[in-house]
Amino acid sequence: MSSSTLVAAAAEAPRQLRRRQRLVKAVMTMHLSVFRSLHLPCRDWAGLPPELISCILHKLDHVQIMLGADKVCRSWRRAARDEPELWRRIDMRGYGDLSHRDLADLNQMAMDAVLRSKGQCEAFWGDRAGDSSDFLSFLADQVPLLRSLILISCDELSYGGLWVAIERFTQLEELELSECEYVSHEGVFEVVSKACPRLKHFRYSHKPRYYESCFWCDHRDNNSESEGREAIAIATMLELRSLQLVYSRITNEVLMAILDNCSHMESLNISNCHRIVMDSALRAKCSQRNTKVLLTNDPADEYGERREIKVCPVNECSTCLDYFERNNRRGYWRNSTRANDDEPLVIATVREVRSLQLYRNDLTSQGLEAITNKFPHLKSIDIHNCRDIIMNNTLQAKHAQIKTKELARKLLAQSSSRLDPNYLDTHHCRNVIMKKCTYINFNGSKATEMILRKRIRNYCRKNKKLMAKLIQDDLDYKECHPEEYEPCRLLSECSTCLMLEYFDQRRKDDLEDYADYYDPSYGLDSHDNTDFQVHDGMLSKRLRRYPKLE
Amino acid sequence: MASAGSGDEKAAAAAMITLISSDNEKFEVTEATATLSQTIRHMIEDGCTDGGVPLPNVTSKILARVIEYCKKHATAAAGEEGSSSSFSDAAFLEVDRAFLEELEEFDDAFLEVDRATLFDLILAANYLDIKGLLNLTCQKVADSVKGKTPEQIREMYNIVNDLTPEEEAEIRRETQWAFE
Repeated sequence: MSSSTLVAAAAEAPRQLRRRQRLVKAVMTMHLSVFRSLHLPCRDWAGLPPELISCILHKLDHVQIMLGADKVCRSWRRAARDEPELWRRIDMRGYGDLSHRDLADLNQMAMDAVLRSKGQCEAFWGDRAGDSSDFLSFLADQVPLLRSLILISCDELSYGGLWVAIERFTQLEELELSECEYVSHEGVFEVVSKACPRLKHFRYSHKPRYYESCFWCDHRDNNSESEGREAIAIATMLELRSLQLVYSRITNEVLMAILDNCSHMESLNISNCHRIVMDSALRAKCSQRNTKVLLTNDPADEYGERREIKVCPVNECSTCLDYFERNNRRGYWRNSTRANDDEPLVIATVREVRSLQLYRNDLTSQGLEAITNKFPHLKSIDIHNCRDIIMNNTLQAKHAQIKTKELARKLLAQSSSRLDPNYLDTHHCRNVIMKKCTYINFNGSKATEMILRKRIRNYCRKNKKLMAKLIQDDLDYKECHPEEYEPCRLLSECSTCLMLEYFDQRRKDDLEDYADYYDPSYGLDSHDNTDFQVHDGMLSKRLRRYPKLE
Repeated sequence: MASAGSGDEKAAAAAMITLISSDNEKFEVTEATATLSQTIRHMIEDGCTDGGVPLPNVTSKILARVIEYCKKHATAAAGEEGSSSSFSDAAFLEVDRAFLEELEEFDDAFLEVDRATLFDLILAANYLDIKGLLNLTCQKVADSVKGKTPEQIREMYNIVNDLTPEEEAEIRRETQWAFE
């Protein structure tokens, strides 16, 4: 402000004062106690109690205060400057543009803000602010006990500068280094892990620039390999609660090592880490630790398909299944079609489960595998109407393991909930894999159900004679009730077939046309959601041939 | 709403509290509404609410608005308690969300006042120690100050620039980092 405007303001001030006094005089006849709350034309905002001014300032950004509010008048300035509490957590994020467009020197502002905290600063969060090594050393001088440091887009910050400074922040609990161009990955994890033993939250993101577009190419260079390996240094940060590695080239093995060592890990963000494959081992590890995992890919990224896995640990009860039953009843499972692998991991956090009913949900084979991995006490599992489950070799092996532990288990897949699972339980079915073939009508008469039960029993004993008898039974039934009988392939089940399938009764006939293009050996171990209808059709067709084959 | 509640009636409706504004207008509110104000809560705890609570710092106009706010938020608090028992129920969560949205709308509408009323509301909230209302009103002021130069703020709030020449010089030194 120039001196001339100052003079003008000085001349203006008494005039305003006089005007105000006149107005006050006009209403002075009122009682004195109501003076303050009278509707005067102007309220004295500068005369607000200091605690109220600071209450207002607390709602403002630090940059906003420094650019405006603290230059208004003496009382506001005092409230803004002489209260270190206000500057305890300096947050200058979101003003990167000011620096980018040369409107303000955010570095100087940051220093000023740190000075105002009078050594009480606990956290500094900057976005293009504090991006010189000078600032960091200044910060370390002023507040060696800093607990949280966030540096975003600090392009001027050099790796060496960071190194020197970070070693002086021994009390850091939270550290974020995002998009700092010259803070390359080389050794950064190691330095941080050594310097900050108390680190609880760590975020490191280094988005590849356009000239690094071959970032995704695996064959590119050894650099990517080394970064993946260097991330192993994170495994020495034993206090870590949350870890965010964005655009990192970290691999599965390294991540497993990290999860093994950091036993307090609660949340993990590995967005855009293209080398991570969220396999069942990793999932099981995460669910064991109740770790929330966020795994997303940039939608703009043409290389990776969009994957999203969020795990919500169940904290309500670790020993009973109440939670699931409630949700099941309300159709919770059914509604979540996209995040279909959430649930198995949720379930897998409850270890004491003996019996599990997961009918009609979107569970996948992988999810089922995670579940069977996690339940040492599992005795019975009911997964009927889960059409995304395919019994593959791995799953079979898993279930065989359960059997060797001498646990009775039933694995039941059928398309009608009218079949009574309790009945099956009494027979200690070891391994019931049931396919409903196309023409059976489960909703029909009781007799059909009886046949079905018999069939299951016989199948369990793997007694060919009984099976043959069953066919006879069926034929007898046909003779007795010719009008009720619907041709059903009672023994459509092949004892070596590993498929566990659900066939939709309302399957469209035109799917049959695909038969010629369908390779029956394809899709036994993997499946494609989009082709499920086709898959169903093909399989049923194939299964109808089985009786003839045997 | 402004009813003249006498001392005898108090026995009949024990849960009602009479608030008396600076211009002697009486407001009868439920205890749940009144206890949103920590000041009044302490008075109730001390048992000195017989014959009404005089609030010499609050005019009837402002007190009416404050009570309007308290009533709305007291029902909100009661609703939350009621639904917390079946917290995991999705339907209830849905209701809660709708309710919170409604509350937000109410707050927004509530703040559509001129600066003088806002000033009085801040003082009243501070005096009555109603945290939610104080936060709300201070946030409103902070929002209006955001992105303004000191001159604009002064003009907006009729603040006289009473900075000493030394302070002015200091500010000039500071403003070197703001190049505009």
